Amino acid sequence: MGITLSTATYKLTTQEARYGICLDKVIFPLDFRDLRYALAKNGYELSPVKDLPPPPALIGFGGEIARIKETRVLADSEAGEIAVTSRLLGEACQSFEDLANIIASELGLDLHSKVKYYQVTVHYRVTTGKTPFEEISKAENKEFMTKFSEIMKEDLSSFSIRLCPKGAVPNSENWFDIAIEPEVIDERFYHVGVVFRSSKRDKTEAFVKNLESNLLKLIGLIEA
Amino acid sequence: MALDTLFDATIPGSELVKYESSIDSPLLIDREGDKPWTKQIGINSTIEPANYLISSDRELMIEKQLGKIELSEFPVDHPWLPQRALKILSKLEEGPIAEKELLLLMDLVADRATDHFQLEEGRFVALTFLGRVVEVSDTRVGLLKKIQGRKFSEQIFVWRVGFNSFSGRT
Repeated sequence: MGITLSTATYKLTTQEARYGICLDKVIFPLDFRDLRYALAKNGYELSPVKDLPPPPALIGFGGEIARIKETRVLADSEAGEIAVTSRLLGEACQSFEDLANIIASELGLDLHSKVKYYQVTVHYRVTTGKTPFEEISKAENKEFMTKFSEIMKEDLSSFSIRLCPKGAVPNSENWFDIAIEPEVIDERFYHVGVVFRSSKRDKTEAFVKNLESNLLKLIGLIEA
Repeated sequence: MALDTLFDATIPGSELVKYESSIDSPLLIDREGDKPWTKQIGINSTIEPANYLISSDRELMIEKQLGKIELSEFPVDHPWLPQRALKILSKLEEGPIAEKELLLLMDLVADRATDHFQLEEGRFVALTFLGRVVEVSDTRVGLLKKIQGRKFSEQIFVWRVGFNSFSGRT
């Protein structure tokens, strides 16, 4: 996938996008057998599991439950999480809505009704034609970096830029982390990793809607 | 209401275990007998009634949830296929099918493989009917040379990414 800015051509490629929720329930409200049946009925391929114990035994489960096209459904019953991964963020959001609709119609559970938080995790590779580690150092705090260099007796520079909401606690339901750094295995590319959590659906959707264009604006600003 | 029950259970390779209990909920006790059932159940595990056994040291260890099934990742070597393709594949296993159906199958499989492997348009690909890539080449001749004389455990077909014609079913 490519996105073009007006001043320069930046190519942003999604490596993996995950969209999901953590449910605000003590016991995971979806029975493993029912969930598998509902997904199979709607064209999903199920991951193989041998000899499930009969109901009413509760089954804990974690991992990839099913897939359809390039979307995978993941869940962890202990953590109360259910999510999808796709190749593109927009696809992941749409696939999660498809999943929520299937669960609502087949199993009678509205996933959005008891959400502790929504979570989006996405990794991008960005190329701008410039060298990221040189560009990133432009945005560092020169005064601090001089002092750091004196302590370490070596010329230092920032490897990455990480942004989070001011004053927010990482271990909370409302948080995000945007890491912009050189790709470790190929210094021509940026790796941009994003983790976003919010208890509000509309806030999550607004963040997702503007994310890719905002990331390119951030990189544009770094390279300006 | 409490149940008074006498359990008889046989553990393969061990003595008959008898256990009396007065309980409100089912007993699920680790067959190894020294800890609650907290082992993870792998994808290839078989969960059988024989696994729900009672410890021989008669400790009460109640676990209402049966461990946890850890589901492994889907294989990356073949794509998800739509129900229509699976139905035709199933028919193909039973015997010959109409050419029209075979073409539809190849079309569906090629379409999914293109998305899954992000195949480049114009390249020549040899695929199995499950969507596994056997060989890839920039030219038809190059591809045919690569697969010539080789034996495959599954049937394959040759196709050019982005084009509708299929050939070389072997």
